Amino acid sequence: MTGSLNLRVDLLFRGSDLVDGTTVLANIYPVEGSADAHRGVLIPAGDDVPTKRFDVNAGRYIVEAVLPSGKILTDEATVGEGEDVTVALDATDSPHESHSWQYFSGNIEPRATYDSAETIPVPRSMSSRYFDLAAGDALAAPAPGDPAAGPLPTPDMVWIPDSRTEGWSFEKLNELAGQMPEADLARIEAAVSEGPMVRIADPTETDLTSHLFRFDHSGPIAPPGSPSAAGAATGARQFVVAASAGDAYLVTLPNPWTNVLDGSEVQIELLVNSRQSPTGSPVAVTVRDRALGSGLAYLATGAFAAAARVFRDVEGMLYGKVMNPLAAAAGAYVLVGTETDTTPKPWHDWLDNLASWFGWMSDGAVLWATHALRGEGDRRDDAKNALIDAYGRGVPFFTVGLSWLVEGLSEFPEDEQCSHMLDEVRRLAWRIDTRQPFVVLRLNGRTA
Amino acid sequence: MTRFVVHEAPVDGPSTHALIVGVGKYPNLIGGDTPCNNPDGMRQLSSPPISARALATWFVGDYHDDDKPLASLALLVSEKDPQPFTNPQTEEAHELEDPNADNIEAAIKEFKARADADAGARLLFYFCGHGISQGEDYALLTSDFCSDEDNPLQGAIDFRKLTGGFKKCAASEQVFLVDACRSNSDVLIGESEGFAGRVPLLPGSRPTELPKRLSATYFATLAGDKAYSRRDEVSLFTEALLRSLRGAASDNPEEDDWRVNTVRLQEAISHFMKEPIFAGEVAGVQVPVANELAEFPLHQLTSEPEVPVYVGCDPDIDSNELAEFVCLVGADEKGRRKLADVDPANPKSEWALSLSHGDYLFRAEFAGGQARESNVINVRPIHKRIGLKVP
Repeated sequence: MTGSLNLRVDLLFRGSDLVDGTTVLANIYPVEGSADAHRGVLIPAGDDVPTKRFDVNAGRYIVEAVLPSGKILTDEATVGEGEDVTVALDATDSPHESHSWQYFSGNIEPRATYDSAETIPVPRSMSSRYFDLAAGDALAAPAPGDPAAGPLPTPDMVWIPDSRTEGWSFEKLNELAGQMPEADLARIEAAVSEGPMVRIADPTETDLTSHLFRFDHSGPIAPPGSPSAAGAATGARQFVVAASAGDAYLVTLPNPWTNVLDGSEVQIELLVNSRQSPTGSPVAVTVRDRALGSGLAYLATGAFAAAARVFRDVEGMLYGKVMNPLAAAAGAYVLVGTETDTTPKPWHDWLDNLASWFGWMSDGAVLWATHALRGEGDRRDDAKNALIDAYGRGVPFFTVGLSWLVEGLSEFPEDEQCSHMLDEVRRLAWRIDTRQPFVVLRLNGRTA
Repeated sequence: MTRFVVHEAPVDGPSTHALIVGVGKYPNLIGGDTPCNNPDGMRQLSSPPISARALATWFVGDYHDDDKPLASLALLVSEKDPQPFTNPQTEEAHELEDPNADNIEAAIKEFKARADADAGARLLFYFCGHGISQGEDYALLTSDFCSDEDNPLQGAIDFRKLTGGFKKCAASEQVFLVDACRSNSDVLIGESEGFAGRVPLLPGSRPTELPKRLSATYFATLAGDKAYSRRDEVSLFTEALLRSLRGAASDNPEEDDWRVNTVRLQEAISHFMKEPIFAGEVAGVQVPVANELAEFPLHQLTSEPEVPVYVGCDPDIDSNELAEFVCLVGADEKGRRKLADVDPANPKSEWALSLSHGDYLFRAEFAGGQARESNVINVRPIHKRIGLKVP
């Protein structure tokens, strides 16, 4: 090797938790020959983060990075004999530094689109991806960004620090939704919350159009100078309710979340976007996890191969200790989803652990069942039992888990119990935002 | 050859089978011969038959995989003025069957039977037309949608169950491409107890004696959203798909062997759909998504890939309308965007062109003889954006 390519992606991340940046999927293609290609590598992404070095022979190279948003950045570089060449790909077109993690995750548009006053096409019907903040005919209203529109109302936000086990059962949530044509916080509290819900007074950061609410293990993080709403006893499953006069979203909060590399706490970030974004969601949840955040974002877009590259990079840390069962479940989704053969793998044992150790998380049972149904040998009966178990544990944390539960139960049309469960799961699935990695349910409306 | 098949070729060993459906004429929707009482705002479509024909033509003429050659292609199309499909290999004209629910159901069963012949087979199902969805449920609307006003979705195929039904098909590689809206319809699915259309193949588990199934499902748009097209043209998603297959989605790990795989295909389609110069006002609005893409090769190119290239001034895009852009190979001019060719509706837009993989020079020429020229630039998939530095 006679030289090196030193790569990074520039992003405007803000916050001490992201000072080391994250990673994105990249490819290095030599213009001549194929020996020096590096496909599917991970490179650093962040604000002035150190580059990652790749030793290469002298020559011309195309460098390409694929962001979770689907944006593809490319550049060409020539490496001379003994030369170290740096390539910094530019992805700094987030609307604000504060929103750059959401931009990176594909939940918010580039600055030029975000700031545009042009009318945005929005879904024709009242889908799970539509947040009626004004509780009026928003389709006929001026577009956000249009001076005629004026400031949009801020939704009511409440945190459910601990929830009833039956509060996230499929039947209870379908029943709750069926009784709630419009947002009704008292009814949600009675059905889902183990104790009093905690109102979140202000977003952690906001530009008055899209609001960021951050959480750590103790609850919502208040904006600088404001008193914290934290202090409530937290349980295994936390939620946030985002409600306007018309709509109410029940948002899965994957809290607490730890970085599997060093055990540090990772903040959860919830975006409530008052601009009716065609690309993003009205309510989006991400974890500001520099190790796995990009993997979760790839997972949400269906880019399982890219997600698998991120998760495989830390596979040993994911399954070595019981540090973060939710991260382990996320990793298992991409590993099961990208498995192309049936040879035994070290992580297969972990599927048993995920299914049996964490009864509060139905994802483990869904994963075990799906793997059994897709794998070698006849494990249909065991898979069916795992699916029934998963249903009993309630709504999965991950949207893909809900999808796989539907898929799994569909394989037993002759079984009355499975058919009943499938009906309940599908009915609830009508309310989910399939764009989100974690389950977000629109509770009100006529879809029941 | 059955009544739906427009191309057949004997293949010894694993092969590829395709079923392509384009529904443009809906007699019971707005603008149709016998509109129903509640068409839910849905109208006639001009793009699906054009899109389906374009994809079928590409498949018969250009699809290539030494390991799984194309063995059969079935095509069903409804359109305002029915036309035969001319097979580009045989020049034979085929009258096309109407994609009503009965015909599609029969075509799917025949399609499965063909793909069942070899566990190494690849199947590809493509649908372009109206679609409505609710959560995991997705109804692909057949040409006779709403012919039964008491149960309009008798004229539909339940897509979720369809993919579940194909689990029992021997073909180990299964590709589904759906170029249709996924707008919600609370009434049609939500209030029909979840009935989302006919079920040609009952879902079930994959028989244990079959190899693992690798599937890739591509949707033209996000759940809950619309898919767009231009009147009387190939739809945006299908155009992005075709351009991706022609090269934008290819890679050459073996140097001269350019191949398209399932993952790269999604990345390339997403690229096109984000480009204003390709997708116009719906760039970034219609977001194509995939479900859990298993990675496997789909197509081998038989010539150098065609790569989308965008040329503009950097950082001053205002200069785009003042520049003549030139593409050169050595001293030979390969293309020129003249000032007269500047789009008056969007004068600052870049010059978009499609080039074969290789080395090129680009130049911006201004009045008064000023010019800016790039270094030699290698153009390779997925795309190349050239920013000519203007002081």
